[in-house]
Amino acid sequence: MNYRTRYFIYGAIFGCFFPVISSIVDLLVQGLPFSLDSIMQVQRTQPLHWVIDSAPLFLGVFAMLAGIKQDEVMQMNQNLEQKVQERTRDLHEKNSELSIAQKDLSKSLEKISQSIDYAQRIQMALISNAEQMKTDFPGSFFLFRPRDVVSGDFLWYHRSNGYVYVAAVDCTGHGVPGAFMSLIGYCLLNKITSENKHAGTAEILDTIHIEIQKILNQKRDSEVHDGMEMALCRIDTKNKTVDFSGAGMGLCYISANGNMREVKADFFSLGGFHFKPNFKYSTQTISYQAGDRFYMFSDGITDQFNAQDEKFGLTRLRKNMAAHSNKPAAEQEKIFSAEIDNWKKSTRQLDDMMLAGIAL
Amino acid sequence: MPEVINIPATEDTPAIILDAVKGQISISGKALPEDSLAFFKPIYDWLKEYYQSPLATTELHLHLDYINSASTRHLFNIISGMQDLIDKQKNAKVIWHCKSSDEMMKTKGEELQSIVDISFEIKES
Repeated sequence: MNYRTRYFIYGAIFGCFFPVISSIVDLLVQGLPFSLDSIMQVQRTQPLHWVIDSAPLFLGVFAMLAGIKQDEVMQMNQNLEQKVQERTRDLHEKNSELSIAQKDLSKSLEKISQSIDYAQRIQMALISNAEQMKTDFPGSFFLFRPRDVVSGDFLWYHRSNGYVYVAAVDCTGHGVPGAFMSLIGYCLLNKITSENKHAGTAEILDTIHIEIQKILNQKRDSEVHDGMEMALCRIDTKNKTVDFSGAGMGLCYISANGNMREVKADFFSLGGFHFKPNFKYSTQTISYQAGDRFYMFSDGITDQFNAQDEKFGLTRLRKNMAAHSNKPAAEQEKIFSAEIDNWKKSTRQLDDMMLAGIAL
Repeated sequence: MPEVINIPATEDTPAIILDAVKGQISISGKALPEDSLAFFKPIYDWLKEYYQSPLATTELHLHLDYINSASTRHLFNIISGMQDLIDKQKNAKVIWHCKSSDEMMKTKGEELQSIVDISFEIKES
């Protein structure tokens, strides 16, 4: 039963007391006996009773009005409750959707991480040749800090026919695309030096440039301009010379007596298109003495920002090279690593980093 | 196509203004997009349209704090495209803005200046 009906009944019942009590009082006042006839008589003679007799109706109606309000409130409550239930159900649904999405996401992330870790093992196997450099040239070291597990930077080391070739390479991109490019560079270096055991450094760079264009179908207006910067040395241990050719990456040479000099690279990097179509790389030959050393590095180090948005810079790197170049290899590696960490702190790493120090 | 396109900078990409009314292209900030082609694509599209009726003078203003090697190649491509303007008897100018304290960007500007065939000005601040 709704409130309006219930309240009407309550009101009417309560209203009945008025005619009953007024009749009883009138009977007592007039000294009449309690009988239906006497009641009928007082009712008939006293018009005030007619007004009082309408009390059940009026009180019933008033109570019903309150009942209507109550009904409305109850209805609103009910609606609200329903809405709350609906919302709660929606939230539960969204919640479970989200947790499913989160699970999917972490599963994908895990798969991608595993895949990249796997790729990293392949990349590490490829560059493990660089370990030979440390044996052949004690005092040499190689600092390798990929931005995203796999790297577009790599060091390549190769011995052939009395020559030692060493290249520091910085491919366009980092992470997976960088690593793809590094494989192209790695394979081309191997291929060219195994086909021509006396290959000169400039000749190798010229060939790599053309080969990358071929492999990636690069034309003047194509969309893939990728390639790599490279510092390539051919060390002739018998005649004590270093031939150097650079494609966008130079080297820093420190003589045994402590003199430092910058060996500049040619501007153009490998692959993509060159502004000058018939450009050929140049070679610089350095005669060395035991105790000389040189450094090759990717711009990931010099371009690294600190919290104040300043770059590590070439000057800082050179200063560190000058200060620490005569220290043992392992110690140098630690020092350079710490210098970079100190600079970077919690700033994110922008690019792959690589630093190779070779002691002749 | 709108004559002025304004692409705001993000953490990884520079702010870009392509203004066909003034004949100015401006790139400022750090350029290290994960996918450089996707980022430079709107610029290429705009340039293609713009080159159909270029103004007498086109200026490329570069205010770069950092540019990764993949993006550098796209920049070369854009500058090389500007060289074609000279063939059409138009003026093309590159203005390389850098902080005098930023030796890396200064060197990059100087190297670029030495190889391009169009007017290339370095403004230090």
